[in-house]
Amino acid sequence: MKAPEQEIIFNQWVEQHYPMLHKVALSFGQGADRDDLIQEMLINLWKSVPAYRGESAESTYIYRVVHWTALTWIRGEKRRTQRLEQAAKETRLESRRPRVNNRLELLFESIQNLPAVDRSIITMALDGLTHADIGEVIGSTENAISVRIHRIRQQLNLEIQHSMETNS
Amino acid sequence: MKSNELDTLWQSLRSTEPANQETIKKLVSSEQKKHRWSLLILANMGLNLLAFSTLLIWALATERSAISQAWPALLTLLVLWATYSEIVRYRIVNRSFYQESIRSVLRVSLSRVEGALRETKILQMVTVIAIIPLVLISLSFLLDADLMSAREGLSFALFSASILAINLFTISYLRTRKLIPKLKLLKNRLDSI
Repeated sequence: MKAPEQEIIFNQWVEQHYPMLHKVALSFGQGADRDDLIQEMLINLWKSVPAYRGESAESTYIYRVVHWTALTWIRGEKRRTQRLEQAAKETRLESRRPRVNNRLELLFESIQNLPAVDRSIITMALDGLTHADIGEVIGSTENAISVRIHRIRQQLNLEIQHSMETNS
Repeated sequence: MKSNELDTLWQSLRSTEPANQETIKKLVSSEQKKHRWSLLILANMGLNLLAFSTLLIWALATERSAISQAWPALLTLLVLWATYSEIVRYRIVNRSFYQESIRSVLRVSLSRVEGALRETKILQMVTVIAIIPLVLISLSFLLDADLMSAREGLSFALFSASILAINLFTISYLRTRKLIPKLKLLKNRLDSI
């Protein structure tokens, strides 16, 4: 593939899917880390353009690249673990969670507290991907994904409800 | 909170800023440069190897050199060709990296990291078991044969020790800071799929 052709396809992908990249970054990183993660996703997306052979749907392919990047993003994961440890320490000391009032912020905070693969699965589900598509991206069966999504949704609902009650 | 409220809440985040075009342009240009450089380096390495191999074959064919003399060069070239073909193979395999599901890609990555860990362990062992004793034996031979003064011997020992220490430190750093955390992360991800 020639460079101008790669550039055209890449720009199209970015234009169409940037909100998805942004949401995945919000679910995986915090603060400046999010920009770093988006940068990493864009680089991998650029590199993956010549490899796209149209065997799977374009969006499935892009989800695969983006989520692969997020799942193997080691620096963000280290910081997340440190942040969770710090929050646990603070909770023990102060017996209360930091106040977050915005429901959207609460949602992203709750997603960030999930295990990494669950974070990927729920962001794809909330984006409207079918269970079969998520299974194709992740490499799992449709049934297993359905069961998992049901459990994650329950967990998220409970956590958001609990946070809202604590904060009110 | 009802389950479909999650979807409504998620969809409410529509006002994401568009991608910064300046950043995208910079990224594209820098990646294109990197790609061109890597191709240039790969081509240069291939041409050099080809030139040295041709030279060696010519020397052997015209009996300017015998196998008994040229075997170290032959061995080195074989190792270099093996390394070169491995780099090329890696680039080709990487092209189809995202064709598979994340689970399959994780498996491939995990086996690569495990391979890299084995290689670094072998390098560490070779350095400790073979290179350090060989340097010490050479040093004592040179001192015994009066080919080197005690002062020169000390300088040689210090120089060798610093080089070997840098090597061991680099390998250990690569193992503990890069490869082992990566291995743990990949195993964790694979287990949780």
